[in-house]
Amino acid sequence: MSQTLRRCLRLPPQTLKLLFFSVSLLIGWFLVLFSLQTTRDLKGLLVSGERWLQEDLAIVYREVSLSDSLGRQRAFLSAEEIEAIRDVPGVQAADPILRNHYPALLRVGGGPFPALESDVFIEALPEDYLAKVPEGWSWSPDAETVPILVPRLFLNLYNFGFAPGKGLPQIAPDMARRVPLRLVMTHATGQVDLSARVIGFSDQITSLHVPAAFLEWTNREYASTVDPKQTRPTRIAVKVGTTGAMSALQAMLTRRGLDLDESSRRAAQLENLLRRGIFALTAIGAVVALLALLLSFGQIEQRLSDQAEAIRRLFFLGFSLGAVAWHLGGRLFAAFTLCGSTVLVALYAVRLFLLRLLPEGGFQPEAMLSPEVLATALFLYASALLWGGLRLRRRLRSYIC
Amino acid sequence: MAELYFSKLRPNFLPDEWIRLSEVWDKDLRFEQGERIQLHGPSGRGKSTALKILFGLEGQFAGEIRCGEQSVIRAATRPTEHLPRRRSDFSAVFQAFYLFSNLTGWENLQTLPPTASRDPRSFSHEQLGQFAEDLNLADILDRSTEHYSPGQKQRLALLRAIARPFDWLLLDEPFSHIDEANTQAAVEVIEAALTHYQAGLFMTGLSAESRIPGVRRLAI
Repeated sequence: MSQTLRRCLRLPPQTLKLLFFSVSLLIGWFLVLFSLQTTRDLKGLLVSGERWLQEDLAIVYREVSLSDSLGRQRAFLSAEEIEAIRDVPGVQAADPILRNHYPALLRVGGGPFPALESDVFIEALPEDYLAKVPEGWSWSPDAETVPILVPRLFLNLYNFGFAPGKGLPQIAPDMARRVPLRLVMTHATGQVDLSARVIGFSDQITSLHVPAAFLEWTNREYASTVDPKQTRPTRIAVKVGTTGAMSALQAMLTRRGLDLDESSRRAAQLENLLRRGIFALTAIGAVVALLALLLSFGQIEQRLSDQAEAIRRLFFLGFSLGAVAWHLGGRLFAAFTLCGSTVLVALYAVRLFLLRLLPEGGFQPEAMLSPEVLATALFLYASALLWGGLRLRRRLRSYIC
Repeated sequence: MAELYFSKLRPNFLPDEWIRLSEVWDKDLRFEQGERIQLHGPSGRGKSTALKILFGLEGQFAGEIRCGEQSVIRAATRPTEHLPRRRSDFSAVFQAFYLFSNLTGWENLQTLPPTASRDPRSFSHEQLGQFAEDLNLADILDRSTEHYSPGQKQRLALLRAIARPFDWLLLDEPFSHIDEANTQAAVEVIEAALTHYQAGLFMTGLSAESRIPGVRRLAI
């Protein structure tokens, strides 16, 4: 059969073109799959899945000095200093981080959960500084529950320190969200006991966070001090747009003896850079693979046009569409199969090589390719075959009459 | 497939007057297995169209053709559904011949779908060689068909059409390019093939006169 078809369809050998398409496809698929595998490997290191704070957020504070420790001075920031920060070119916003001005206590558990209570320190950031406003984050004086964002460190301290030491059960994050909480606030004439609920955990914060509206209202209602000095802010959240603005801000802060914590901002920038790099690699790979596919399909269609009359004669004689399609596209589809297999082998080999370069005891992902990567490879291969096959079939059908 | 049933078949492009006068269009007709039919009439009445509809080369028509009990040819029939019928049920020679000009005469005769070429009922190489002798083609079968005359091409197309089994042979003005002596030889070859395969014939001609014996004539 193939000999008969070869005789009727005079197809010039196009080994070089086929090689070019195959290598291009191989590079494209490799980049896409390598990016995907890298994303999977780094998933544990990337925190943006739980990024609550905006990535251009930095915290300004005053270094605590010996005189502060002796009680002669407090590390507060004045209204004039806050205005000076706002006036730095490139600073988009600067607002005090609110804190509670009354004693607060958190009671945890009850029922099937172990009961605990602890004095707590709560803070709040205006919503403008949150990367996303979590569901249920809003609060008003008539709300039944206070939403709380908890530092992940607190959960880890409980699960890996406190609970094993006391013989208590460990608590998974999802379970912790269902643990009943009571927030007890003490004021001049008594106590107020409110229901609270954990809505999430974050690596970006170091204290319990609640909605700003809650702290503004409760500070107004229950503040235990009337000395305005005691309620002055100790930390300022700053949104900085550009790197240049950050330099200007840093210079101004140094002049005024203030410090800047931009670890969260830097981690976010690094993560952002990494994500963009991986995305760029994926996009380049996808474009290269797509171009290789389009060019190879274009090549097949060119062959079809050149051989249109011969193909019509074959169909006149009753040759099957599948037989003609396989004769015209078989080599290309075989090349797809070879590319798919080669990409997986190359990916595994490169991975083994890179893992050997990593220091021992550090970040050590598993050597095996992840199931998602294997599934994606299969998907890419099947899509290319299906897409090419359908295009070829549709074009050939038009030659049947 | 054995019988054919034409049910209210009519091309979309023929005037109503011609349809009304025709013994084929817009009628219900039954053709028995092995029956020989000649469709005759002036040019433009749809003689070739009738064969093309049967072979799946024409889609502009109303009505349907039932092939035996299972297969139906309609305007909406998918193109790929015609291919199996072309491998086993129908064999045809149209005015365009559909030969491969880059191949020799013998290579054209050998260019058949595998199911057809492997069929034990097919004529042997020797029998085909004898038919080629009868049709005065034997001396040119090893030459490229690019240089064949229209008459030689028509005889080669006929030879290729009968090289494998079929139920119905469709011949569109099969002697239009053939001289008298070769026409007689072609008639004998067609007769031999129809007998060998116990097949029927649909052929077209300008007049009711036919070289093939025992034909049922229908004015179209």
